[in-house]
Amino acid sequence: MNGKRMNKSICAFLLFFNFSFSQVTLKGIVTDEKGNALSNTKISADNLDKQYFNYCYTNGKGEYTINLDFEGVYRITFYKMNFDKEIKNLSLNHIKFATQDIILRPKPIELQDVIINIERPITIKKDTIIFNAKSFLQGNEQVVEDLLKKIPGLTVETDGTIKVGNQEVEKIMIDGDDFFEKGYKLVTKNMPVSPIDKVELYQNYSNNKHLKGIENSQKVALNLTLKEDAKSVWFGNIAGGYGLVSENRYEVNANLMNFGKKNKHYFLTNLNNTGLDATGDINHLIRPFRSDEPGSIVDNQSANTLLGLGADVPNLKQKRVNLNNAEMLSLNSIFTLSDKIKLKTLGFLNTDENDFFRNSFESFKVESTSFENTENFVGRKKEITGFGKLEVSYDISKTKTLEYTGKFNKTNEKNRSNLLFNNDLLNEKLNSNNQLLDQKIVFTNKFKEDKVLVFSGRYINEKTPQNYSVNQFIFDDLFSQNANNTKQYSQNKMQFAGLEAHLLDKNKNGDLLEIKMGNQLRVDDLNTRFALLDVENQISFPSNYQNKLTYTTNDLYLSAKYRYKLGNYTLLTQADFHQLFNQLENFGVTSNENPFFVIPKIGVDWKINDENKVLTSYSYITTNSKVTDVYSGFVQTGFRSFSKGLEAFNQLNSSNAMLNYTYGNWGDRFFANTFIIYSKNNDFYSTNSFIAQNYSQSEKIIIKDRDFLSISTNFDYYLKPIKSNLKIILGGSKTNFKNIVNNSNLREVKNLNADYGFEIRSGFRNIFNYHLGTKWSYNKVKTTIENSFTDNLTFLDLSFIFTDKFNIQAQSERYFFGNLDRKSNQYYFLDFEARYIFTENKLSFSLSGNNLLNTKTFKNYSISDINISQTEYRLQPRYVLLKMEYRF
Amino acid sequence: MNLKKVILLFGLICFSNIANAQNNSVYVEYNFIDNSIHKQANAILVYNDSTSVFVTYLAEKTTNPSSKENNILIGELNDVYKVVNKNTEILKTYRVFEGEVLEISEKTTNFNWNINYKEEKKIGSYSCKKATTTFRGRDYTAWYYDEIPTYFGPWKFNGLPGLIIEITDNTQTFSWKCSSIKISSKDFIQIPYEEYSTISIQQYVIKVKEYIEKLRTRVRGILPRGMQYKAPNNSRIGLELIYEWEKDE
Repeated sequence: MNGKRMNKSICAFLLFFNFSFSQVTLKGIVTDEKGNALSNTKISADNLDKQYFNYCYTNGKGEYTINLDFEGVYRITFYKMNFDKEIKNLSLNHIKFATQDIILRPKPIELQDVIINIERPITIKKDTIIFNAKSFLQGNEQVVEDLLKKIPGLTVETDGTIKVGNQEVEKIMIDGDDFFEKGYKLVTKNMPVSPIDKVELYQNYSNNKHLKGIENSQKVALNLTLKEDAKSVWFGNIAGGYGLVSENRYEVNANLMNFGKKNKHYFLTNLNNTGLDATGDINHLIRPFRSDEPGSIVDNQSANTLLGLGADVPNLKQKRVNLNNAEMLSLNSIFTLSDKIKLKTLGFLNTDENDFFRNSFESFKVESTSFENTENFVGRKKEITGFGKLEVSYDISKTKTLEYTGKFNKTNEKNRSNLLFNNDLLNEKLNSNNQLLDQKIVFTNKFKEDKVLVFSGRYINEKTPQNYSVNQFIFDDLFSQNANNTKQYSQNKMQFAGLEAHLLDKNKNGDLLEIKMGNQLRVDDLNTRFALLDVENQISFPSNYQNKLTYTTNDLYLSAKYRYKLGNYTLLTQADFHQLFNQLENFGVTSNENPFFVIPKIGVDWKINDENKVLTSYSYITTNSKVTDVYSGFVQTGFRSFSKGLEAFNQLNSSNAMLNYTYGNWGDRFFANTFIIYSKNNDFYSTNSFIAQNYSQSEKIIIKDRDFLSISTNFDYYLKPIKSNLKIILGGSKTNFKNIVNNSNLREVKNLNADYGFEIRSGFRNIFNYHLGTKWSYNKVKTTIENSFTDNLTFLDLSFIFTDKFNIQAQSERYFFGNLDRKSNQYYFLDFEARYIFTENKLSFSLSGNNLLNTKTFKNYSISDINISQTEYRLQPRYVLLKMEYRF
Repeated sequence: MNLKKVILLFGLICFSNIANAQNNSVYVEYNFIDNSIHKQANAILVYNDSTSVFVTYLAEKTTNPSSKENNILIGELNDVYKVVNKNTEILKTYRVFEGEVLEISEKTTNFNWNINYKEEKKIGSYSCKKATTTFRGRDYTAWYYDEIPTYFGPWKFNGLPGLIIEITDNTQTFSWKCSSIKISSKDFIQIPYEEYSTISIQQYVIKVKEYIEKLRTRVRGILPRGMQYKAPNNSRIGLELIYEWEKDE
């Protein structure tokens, strides 16, 4: 009960020199003048000779007992708030016990308020917490991650993920600049710690600083400020891998960075033939995903490419199906030109070579027509892309910012194929290019604490010229000319210009009003020329197979959105008003249309209680025709397929409803989430197609009434005895629509899909964990005939984390196709990866084995309203890669 | 764990009567910083001769409805009440855990303060003396004011020769700094719960451990295929990192 303390060195000293010491116990009762016991009175005993001090407090009866380690003369102080201090000098020699009662006299005291001392290593402002790096460094830190590990409240997980509490940080900036977003580990695991001055933690973080407090954000981000005098150093890492027991497989990935107070640079390169997307690491820099953020005016406008070379791949892991050889180099810089002006540049050059091998067998059965086609496809795609981006941001004042973004892209793609189609060997050539110039200017003005006005303007110019040729002529049934090969030139040129003003107004109860007004003009030029050639290259251009059109749509719009809370309800209402000016100029013939329409949207979020939540939304949408809906001549879209548009404008209407019900929270033992989506198209684009063995032609038609219904449910249940989570997946969707094939009547097509399965995943704290799952997919297509099949995917993943430095992961899968032959209806895959960290954040090794069962081909089965197809793809064969990663 | 219904008001009225009679209950306000979750909160210590009540006002005062769900893993933030009876040497903590009010009971700790320091620090108008201690896995440095003698202190601290004006854990994750001291004839702070389950701290620690385990397993288990979840090595990030009875394990 009583705090008691004695300096050990003094004790030892006394032990040595004073042999005759012994313990004394002093007892007594403390009362006031009326005899009431005084508890919580402090009794302190000072022995000045021996520099010994002890103290205790009285109990509820006013009693105290204090043990003194030495004999001698003591000054005993009795002290209680609101009472006069009493001091007694007692000589406590040659006794073991002594008694001292005392009576204290009241004496009210005046207390002053204490003022908090502000000087501290952690400063908390509103939503910002600043940590002084110096206060947390112990001297053995190498990289930024080591510092972050010592900052209170930050957690660095063994894989380098950084969390604040239990939430992962959005990004880690350096002096407010960022190259990496969620890929921040490149910085934290490589950057030396010495230039860091402060670590700033932003809560409720917004990407646009002016939207802070207006956006509802739960994001957290870190900012590392650099010391004024920090010398900028180059740092980075290199990772290289080489195939051991296989043909030549390699990957190299190097990052080089320099972060100075003024300029920051980040260079990276990636070379591989192991199926990795080399530009994957900079995707977020090329196309930052900022949906719904003001100033993101039309991120969805792009030109169309009409033709592809059938280079599809099955839905397996990318490294199994992507037979590539990619080389990428990227240079990125941020220049701080002044306190207010920043310039960011990004450029990359990417080359890639992809190989495709596909054998397919399709059997068509339409009305009275039935035939079978085989295709053996061997293709190669060579691609070179150059991309540049320039961003300038100018902070006019604390509340005003002007930003300019300019992007330039040029892609040249060369495709070649050898295609054995039934008995004909076709050579296809496709040169497909893309040229894009995209400029955007955004002015943000936070004119009041809770009101922001964003003006944005954008101009995009994009072209997609394609040259396609086939060295054989298989269209004898379609054309009477005596040709022996074909060519098609096509180009969609798109120009877009948009202006928008966007007001965000948050009122005092947190309800947000948004008003958008703008005008968007899009001009599409679509030119296609399909030519028949004979040996002597005499050309004829069949009519109905040419396009020359200019489609202009101008959309003047006003959109108002209001979100407000009413008790447990959140209501979201939105209305978009559009006045369109459409113009179509087709081979010199011009037509116009100026429709006006309103798109209403309403949503209700209802939190019934902590356990039950319901989200609903409804919208009635009007969609304007796109250039791909209005062209009048057939365009070749594959070696045996042609399609054409409707030759006229249209606005199509649909109703969409969504319901989401959540039971429980994901931390609860039982958690369920259900989605129901229903959409009804009052009218929609369907096709009128003609299908023959050597060709198919389809043209758009407008049909009434299409239904789509989708229901999906997940149940998660925690199985306590085996510390595992059981997940049950149930889902289904149904579509009904109508089309015309080979001059049939309008025929109804009914699609039904159902998915069902379960997963069980352990949450053990020891070395081992497993994840097992299986899922069945049922598909049915019903027209005049009915086809259906059931596939299954089963997987088992094992994880062994032996230490922080050594772990092994193994993944295995089994694919089963219900309608394929017994010989080829099951496919097994096994991959593993072992990783060993030799020196933390310095040197590590890993060994990865891919497709260890050496499954060389993979066959897919699919059905549609016209055919059943079986397609076999070639896969990346077995290889083992030894990788080393080194920080310099 | 037996659920009992207690009308606490009665007891509290008794306290406040005594306090009024003797006119010596002391009302101390602290600014509490919890950097494990980056929160600042007000905390109040009220004590008389035999009893103290210590409240940490952690409850979120936010208008944002979604913030609550984001805190699932660290538990809901609600006010925590502590009552110390010096005579019975029992400390009772009242908190909401998984939707249930708990009265967690433990013996008051003998902190074995090291007060053998010469250093003094002026905080406001008070010259404070230094003391250090180690408690449940954290090292603390306290500054106390000799001239306000009291056994009671903020949070679970007790037994220094004077009132704790400032106390910080040495990793700078937690700190309590006094902002005002008043002698008050006001009523004691009342525990706002009438119905709760009584458990020992040992039982509570097991309960929390099971809860965290369940959540971790849950998080791990609910992840999509191929995603890994790695729990931090130290499962506790709060004030108490290790308990006396665990040391032998």
